[in-house]
Amino acid sequence: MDEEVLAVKTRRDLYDFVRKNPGFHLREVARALNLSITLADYHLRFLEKHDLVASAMDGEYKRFFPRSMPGGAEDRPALTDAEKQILAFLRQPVPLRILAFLMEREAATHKEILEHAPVSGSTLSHHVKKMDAAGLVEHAEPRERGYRVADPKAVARIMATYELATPDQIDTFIRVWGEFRL
Amino acid sequence: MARPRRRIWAFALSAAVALTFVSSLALADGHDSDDDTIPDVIEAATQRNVVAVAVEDELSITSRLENPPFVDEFGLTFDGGTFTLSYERGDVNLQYELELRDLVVFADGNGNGRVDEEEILSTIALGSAAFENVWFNRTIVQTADGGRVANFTIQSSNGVIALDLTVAQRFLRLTPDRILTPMEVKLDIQINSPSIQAGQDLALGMRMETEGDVEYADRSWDELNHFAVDDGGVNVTGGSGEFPVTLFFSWAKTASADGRNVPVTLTEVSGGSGSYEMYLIYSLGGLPVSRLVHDPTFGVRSEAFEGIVSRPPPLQADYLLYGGTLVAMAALVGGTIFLANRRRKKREE
Amino acid sequence: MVLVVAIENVLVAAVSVFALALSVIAILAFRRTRDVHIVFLAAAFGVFFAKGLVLTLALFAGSIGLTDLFILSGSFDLAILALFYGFTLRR
Repeated sequence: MDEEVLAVKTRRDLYDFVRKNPGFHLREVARALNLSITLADYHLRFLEKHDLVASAMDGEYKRFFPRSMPGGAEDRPALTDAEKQILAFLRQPVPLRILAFLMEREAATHKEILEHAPVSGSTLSHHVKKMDAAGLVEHAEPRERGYRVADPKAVARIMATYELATPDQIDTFIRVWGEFRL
Repeated sequence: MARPRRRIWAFALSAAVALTFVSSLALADGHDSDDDTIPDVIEAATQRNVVAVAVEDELSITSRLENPPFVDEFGLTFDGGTFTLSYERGDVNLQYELELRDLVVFADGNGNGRVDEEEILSTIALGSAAFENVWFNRTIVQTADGGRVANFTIQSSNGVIALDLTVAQRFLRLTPDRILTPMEVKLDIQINSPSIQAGQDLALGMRMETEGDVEYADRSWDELNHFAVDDGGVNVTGGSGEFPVTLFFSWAKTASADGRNVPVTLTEVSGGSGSYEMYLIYSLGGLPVSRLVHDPTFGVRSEAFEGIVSRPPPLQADYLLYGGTLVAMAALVGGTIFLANRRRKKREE
Repeated sequence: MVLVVAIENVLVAAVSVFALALSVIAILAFRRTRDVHIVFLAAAFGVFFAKGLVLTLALFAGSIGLTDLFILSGSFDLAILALFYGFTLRR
């Protein structure tokens, strides 16, 4: 697993942890998840930047809280069409890599992305074109800068909320029954 | 379809096939311990109490259903050359008398397949005259298949005809093609004909007396229910509209003449209002014959039996089948989980 | 000829195994999501499994009348469907 996707998994663990154990400070969180403090801090900043966790200073400690309390309506909302589309792309290995790569930086050119994706140039163009058409990515300003993620908050939320590895039977069960509602 | 998914389906399918195979083995088995194609459960439910007594030249067989929903009893007596078959079921009873009247040797000159008066060459009287002062021999054996099986033999005083009667408690396999049901008495007729010339045929003359309605059936009850093949008969129906009762006298359509198969046909049943004359014609095919063997049957169409057979069978617990299914299903579930996980891991790599 | 059908053994064993597998999956799903509503599902499949056990007992312990079987089976089915329906009502 390359770094970007690993990053996604780590962030998901952090998000889950903070959601289940609000109010822990950085060192405790890092220890609980067996991460270095630096790494935990880096990822928590990312989560905070995308409004997934909130932090509050308590004297000398910075404590982390989920943005919404568990059980709240925003906790696991029904997916919007846009979210479903994002998820659809994230479930494909190549678009996942591309988006994970783009999420780490402001923008990236085709050449830069190609260095990090194990596909041919034409395949990359194909996927980027599809994501552009779907509104997931857009041309950066100025155009020479390449592409960027159109709605990083939405993508971050989806990445943090959903298991992006190939779903096992349990995941399938959850997903299927998740739609079984009045 | 991607290869790993196809494998999962192949696995699931083969497990399902294995399961079907196992369960159909159990179905095919059907617990038939005496191998007469009747399941043990049916045999037990249709078993009868048979009392068979022979005193000199009189025979009396009484057969009653052991575990009836209602009284179901039939009886066969033989006295002076006449058989009487009677059946009692609840309030209804019906009977017929069948007299073995005579044996005629005839030549079917006009080829009409009937015994015309002028075609008769010789007649040997049967009936009371032939069976005076002769005694029955009785044997009773306990068999695994038919339970208590009673067998009676008697020979006419002139030695021309010998009768062999068999009745069983349960279904009894007689030959690969013939199963004797407990509602029947088997009659084997052996005719030792002194001299039948070529071109002559033999006919057994019978008289039937009954208050029921008599009708010839090209396929007997035994054949319709797969207990016999190539079997025809005469059905006697009576009883009331609600509880129709049927007795029958049926026979195999072939007889054995000196080891050769010869066809057996019934002439038209003549007479009426309770008394009927008929001939069983043995077409000997132009060859002389010294010994003929034929096997008719006296029987009763038993409502009780048909009720039992058509009743939905009771639940049959089977440890082996149950356990086997548990194992097969666990393997199916475990296997599909395993394969699905392996496919997922491969995709993640 | 009548064939004695022993397929009730196959059915009741298969039902039990499938129901147990689904109960376990549901329980694991609950542990993963911590969504308390999934307990409805786990309970539904659990009741299905219980039904399989009870029918197995009825099959091996001896005679059970058609009426009793009907009532027993129907009660279980009602409970299972109620749980499924309750699951659909979640917010």
